[in-house]
Amino acid sequence: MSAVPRNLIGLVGHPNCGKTALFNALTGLRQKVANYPGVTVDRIESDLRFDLGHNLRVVDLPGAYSLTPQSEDERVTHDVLLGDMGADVRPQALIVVLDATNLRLHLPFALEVKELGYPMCVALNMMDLAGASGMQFNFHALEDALGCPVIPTSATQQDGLQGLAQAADEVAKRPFDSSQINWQPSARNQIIERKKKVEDILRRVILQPGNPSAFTANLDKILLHPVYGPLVLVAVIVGIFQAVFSLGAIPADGIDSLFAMFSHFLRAHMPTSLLTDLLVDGIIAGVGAVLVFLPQILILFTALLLLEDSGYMARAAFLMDRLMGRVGLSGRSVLPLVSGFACAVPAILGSRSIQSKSQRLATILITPLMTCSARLPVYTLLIAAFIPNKPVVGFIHLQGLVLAGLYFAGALSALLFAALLKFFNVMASGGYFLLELPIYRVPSLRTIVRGLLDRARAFLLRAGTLILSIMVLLWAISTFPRPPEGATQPAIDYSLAGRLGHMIAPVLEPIGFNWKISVAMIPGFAAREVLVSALGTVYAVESTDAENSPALAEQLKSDWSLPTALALLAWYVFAPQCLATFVVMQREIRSWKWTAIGFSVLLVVAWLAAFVTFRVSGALL
Amino acid sequence: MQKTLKTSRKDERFRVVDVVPGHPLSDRLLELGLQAGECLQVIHEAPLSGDPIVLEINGTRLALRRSEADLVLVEDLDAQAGAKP
Repeated sequence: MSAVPRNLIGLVGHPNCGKTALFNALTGLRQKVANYPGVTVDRIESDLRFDLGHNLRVVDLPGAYSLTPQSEDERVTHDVLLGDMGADVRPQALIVVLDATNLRLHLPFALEVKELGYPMCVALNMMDLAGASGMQFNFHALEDALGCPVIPTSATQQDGLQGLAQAADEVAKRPFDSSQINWQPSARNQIIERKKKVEDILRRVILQPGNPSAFTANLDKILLHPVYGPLVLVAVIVGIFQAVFSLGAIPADGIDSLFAMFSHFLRAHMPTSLLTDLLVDGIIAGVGAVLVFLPQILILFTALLLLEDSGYMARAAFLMDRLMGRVGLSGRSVLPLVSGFACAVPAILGSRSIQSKSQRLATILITPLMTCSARLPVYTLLIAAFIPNKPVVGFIHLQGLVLAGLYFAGALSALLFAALLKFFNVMASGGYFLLELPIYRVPSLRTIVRGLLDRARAFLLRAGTLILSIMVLLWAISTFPRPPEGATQPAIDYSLAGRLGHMIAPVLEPIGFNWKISVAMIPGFAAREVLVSALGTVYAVESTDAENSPALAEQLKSDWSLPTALALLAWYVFAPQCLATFVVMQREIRSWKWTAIGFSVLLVVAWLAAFVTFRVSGALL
Repeated sequence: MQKTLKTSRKDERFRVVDVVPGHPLSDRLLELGLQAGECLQVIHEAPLSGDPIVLEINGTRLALRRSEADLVLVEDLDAQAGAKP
């Protein structure tokens, strides 16, 4: 194998011009796409799915406004193109992706890339939107001006892909010695010079201008209105939580009774044996407990995908910039933080698009406080068991309100933590905010459905592998060693898990957690939702009345006091669980010191929050 | 009269004169099209504080804070109609 692959094509262009959508269409992969700048923050390679008779690979690069990087994601693109990441990841030729609806903004980048000398072709993307607004182009004039093939495409409509693949294949055959690239950051006069060239090109290329942002302008009059704008934002957030709780409960109850029926069936038809115990108490109780929450997680993801794909997220960033500025962040931080509602790991990676270094560090450190979807099962289980579902105002019920309150507590403490970082001068001054607001698009059904399928698959895979194996292990340590002859205590007290639980109990007793919670919490560090599975298994093993074990929520209700449940909820708002988050944090900020500080502060605060909640609610209730 | 976008209000229209160099975002603003001679309009102000603002320039919408808007030297477009020799 040669060190330099002769067949690697790079996709480059401005943020949000549709590179990743094209990449997915060209390769059949399913990388995340959305309608805001800075979704792709790393390079991703895959084989072209069109048969050209030989192998051709495509690499998707983060969007960049120019080759002079302003943020970490732009730096990736800069480093790959200039060979700073090594010769083996440097592409042999480029597809420059331009947004046809906004050529004036996008063309200077094409000129800048052309100056590097790469063989290239241009994908004039979003032709569907440009065409719908009445725009007409002279493609030949653009080919003449840029000296390379121009292929009109629409990634979302899957138009022009075959032609693009062939053109890319053609230019990739041209000889190019990329070691000869000599790049200097653009001087001011070069930027101005390129702009003049662009105006000249546009005069020849645009035959009929359109107004692709007319609809956007009208919608923004409401969504960015000084009064209606914030009201809509609040309504969107409240609506999402209400939907997650009330809509998600319907299929969840169904799944729950399905698993209950299944375990009754097994108990009735299998001999009483360790294997039956493992199946019913270990696997069905544990894995079933968390699978119940799939519908809710999918509803949450649908909402997030709709927000991202429509273009609304960038508006939320604008509306919230002032608030974020108070604590030293900016509207830029809103984009990764909101994706933290799904999972902290991609959120931490997403913060690469934040221009200011100190804002990026602070955003990463507070991301674990955003309520990720893995906490949802824990919250939902405890709320369903301990909070009465009475109506408060109109369609809003107490349970939904408590859930929203927990999300709010997480987000608010994230802001407080950022304020503290600012107070201790961790963040140098010089925070700024600059964000392009994309035009609104009708969310693509394909993107939403694919996103949800991927999410569901990931969730089921996790339940089937990680959670399943942890549950088998947990079942084993809660079952063995068996109790001695004539034992007086429940069998689980003699098991390894029982002993372990009793051992750490002194640390957790002051905050109201019994030893069973302590046992269930340890595997929770692998993944938060495992707590629910673990409780399912521990309580199923302990249950003496195997014939008729009640639902987990009922068991918890009879075993825990209300202050214990509230303290556990408070613990989960802060607790630095899920090790993956901290592994990624360390990798992104490259500082053991800050990762350790982030982890231990959250651990201490979680303990204190649970302590205060337990004591105060114990005194009041 | 020359001024910066710092104190601009919603619906006001301006012609760009220059971008003050030296700030980390100066060249980025140029790259985003804020160059001498271009016309722009302030189309939104954030709720309550009126900061940040949204500019529209050549069909591109840019949200930025007033502290960065201060880098953009402009002249009034409405008041100046016919006043220039």
